[in-house]
Amino acid sequence: MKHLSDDDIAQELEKLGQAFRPSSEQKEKMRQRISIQTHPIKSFRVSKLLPTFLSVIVLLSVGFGLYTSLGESKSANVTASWNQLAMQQLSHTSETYYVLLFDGSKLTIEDYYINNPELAAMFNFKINEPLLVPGTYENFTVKQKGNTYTIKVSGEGGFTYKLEKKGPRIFVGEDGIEYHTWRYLEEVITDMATTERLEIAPQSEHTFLIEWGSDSMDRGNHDFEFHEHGQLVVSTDFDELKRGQAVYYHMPSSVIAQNPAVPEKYIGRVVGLPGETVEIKGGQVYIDGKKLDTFYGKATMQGLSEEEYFNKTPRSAIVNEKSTQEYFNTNMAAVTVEENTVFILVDQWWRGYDSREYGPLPVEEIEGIITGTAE
Amino acid sequence: MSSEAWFDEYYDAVYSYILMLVKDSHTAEDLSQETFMKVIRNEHQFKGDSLVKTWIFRIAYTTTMSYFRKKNPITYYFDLHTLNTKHERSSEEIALLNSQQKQFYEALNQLKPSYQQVIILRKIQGFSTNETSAVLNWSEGKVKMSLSRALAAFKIELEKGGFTDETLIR
Repeated sequence: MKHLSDDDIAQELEKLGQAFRPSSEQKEKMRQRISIQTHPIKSFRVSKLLPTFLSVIVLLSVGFGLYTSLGESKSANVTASWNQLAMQQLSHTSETYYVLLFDGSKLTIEDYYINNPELAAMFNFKINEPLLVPGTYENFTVKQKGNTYTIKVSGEGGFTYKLEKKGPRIFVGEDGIEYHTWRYLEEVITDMATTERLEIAPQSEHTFLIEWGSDSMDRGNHDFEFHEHGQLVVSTDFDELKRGQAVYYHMPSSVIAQNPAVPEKYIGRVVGLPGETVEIKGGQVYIDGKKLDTFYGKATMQGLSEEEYFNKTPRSAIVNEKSTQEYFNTNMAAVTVEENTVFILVDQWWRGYDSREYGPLPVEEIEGIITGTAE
Repeated sequence: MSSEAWFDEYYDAVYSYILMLVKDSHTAEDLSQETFMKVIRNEHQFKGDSLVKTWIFRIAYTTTMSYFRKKNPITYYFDLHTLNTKHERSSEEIALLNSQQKQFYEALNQLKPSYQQVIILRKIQGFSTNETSAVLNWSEGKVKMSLSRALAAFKIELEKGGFTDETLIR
């Protein structure tokens, strides 16, 4: 038997390949298919754009929702801080001379302009249509959003008037009239989250119980004290310390060295956060120069302010009136709170040790946050 | 030279190459179309450092292989996809073949895929060793060695089917 030669095989394979070639019809068909694919007829199909439409709608509604919710949350009612504020027109670009008085629930707008043609010629007024109408208005609110203050008067003859804060005492109205106030607007820091009284807190594997005997946190209810409220729940599970949070921490050794009677582990309240400056002027805490308008932001005795205390307490019960007054007007120079430290104050300043004594407290000294009382 | 002229010149070869591998004219059409779509889309990427035909066949090869990979993911990696799938068509359905061609094609299909590749490219499509190595991304040595082994195996397959020098119709 003679084997197949390589040449024969090669020839035969070549022929085989020919048999697999497409017919010219097939080729023509394919040419058309490819040319249609590479030059597609552009047709407008709504169904193709539907996902785009839908995502645009979703995006817009999410954006709108965010805008409105953020916009509302940022607008703060600052009517209280505008109480007793007088605002006087500064600019000479309009034929008016307004003085605005915010007094309790009353807003008085007066126009002291004296009709004087010579004056008009002298100042060549640019603003022809001042918006404010002189009169006395009841029930006004002032809302702040960033540097924009909106005065809103409801009821008959109500209006809204927007003021842009340009400087510490300079405001520009929406009609372009400039005003200055006679005093600085007081900026305050508030804390709506922290409650004055402790509530019963749940316990978990991250909590432990302590007994607290001192009246350093007393706000008139023997707050935090074991004999009145039982044990306190301390949670070691906390991320970021917030202002107003009561904490359980290691008292710096310098304090204990001076007074061995001070407990090694102590309770205080976070008042100053990293990066802030804390100052006490006349018994009031200021954070970065802003008034800390919270129950723990001022000197108290059993939760009473100076006025309340002197009204309620019989004279005979006050041991030393002068030193008590001094206490209510405690001063402390500004302290800058460094990174990873917090400024601690007790609630009844004259009864406890805190950052007034030892300065800002390193965060790692804090053992846990006090979440409430045990059952 | 534009891709349309390339289509004229190389479509037949590409189609027959793919058809021999996939054994189904519809699949072969689809894959050839895909191949030429890629050629047209990537025309600017052709660097001219190889023959146009080699470049197009490289694309045809990868397109066909990814088709097999998608179809039979496991067997592909073991070089087991004998290109004989369940719904195997008889040779008559694939192309018009005389009985001798049929036997040749069936013998070819008995070989393992890499042998089929090298025989189809070197002997049927008429590529040189160098070009074949570019299409398959093999070394030239591997092409040469595989070809000689493939041809030996092919001969054995043919002789199993009763082919001898005498029975060959020339």
